[in-house]
Amino acid sequence: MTTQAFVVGTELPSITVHFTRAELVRYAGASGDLNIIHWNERTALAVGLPGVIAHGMLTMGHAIRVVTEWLDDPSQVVDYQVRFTRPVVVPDDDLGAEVTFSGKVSAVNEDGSAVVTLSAVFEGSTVLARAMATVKR
Amino acid sequence: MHRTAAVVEIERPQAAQLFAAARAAGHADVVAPTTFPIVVTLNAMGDAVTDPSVGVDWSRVVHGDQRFHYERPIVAGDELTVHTVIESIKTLAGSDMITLRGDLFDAAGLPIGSAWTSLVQRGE
Repeated sequence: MTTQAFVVGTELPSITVHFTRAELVRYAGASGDLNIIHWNERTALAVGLPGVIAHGMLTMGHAIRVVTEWLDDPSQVVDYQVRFTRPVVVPDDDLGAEVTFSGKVSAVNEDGSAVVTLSAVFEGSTVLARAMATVKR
Repeated sequence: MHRTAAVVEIERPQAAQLFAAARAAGHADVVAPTTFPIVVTLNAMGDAVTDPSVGVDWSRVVHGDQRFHYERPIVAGDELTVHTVIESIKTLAGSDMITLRGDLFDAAGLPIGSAWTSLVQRGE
């Protein structure tokens, strides 16, 4: 457990991830979310999406790594929420879609727990809103 | 209310080191990733919303909001039971939004936490 107190304004080390079609297939299998829009471009375009999009949960899962890799113990995260505001479009190439995740301590509560506000940026725009994790000491 | 049970199994590429680190931190076994409960809660929610009379077209469904709250961490070996509740159904600008809450319990029936999922079915 972290012994040092959390400090408002602390910036957490950022993480950059490349989402590829192969990773979407792996995540579909791991999560059980087999929705066709995450692997079939023809269907994704037909229903009005800009292309094959990443699972929101894949984005959410990577974003919290900013916090869990910063903490001593991942179980210090006691609450985590996001709103998915823009799709991450994953091209059919080897590089994939580049998403950069960062975080900052935005509040420290009376009990010593902290709120970390997270950000996820894809092609210059945020793809998550209200992305917040509460972490205990 | 739908009840779905699952046993947590976590793959362990460096099993010995991960287990040792988890034990050193005071856990009974390795801790599941923060977003892990979606694996069980989404399946349970699927049972709740794929009733043919509801008429969900999954290719038009996108994830709107997601939240996880923990009373205690999930560790390998936990047996989880999910109670799924439909919290709300709204129609906004031609899209239908459903919010579900999955409450997670361990083998002893004690609360582990909850997951809230909002799904949006976009209009034609």
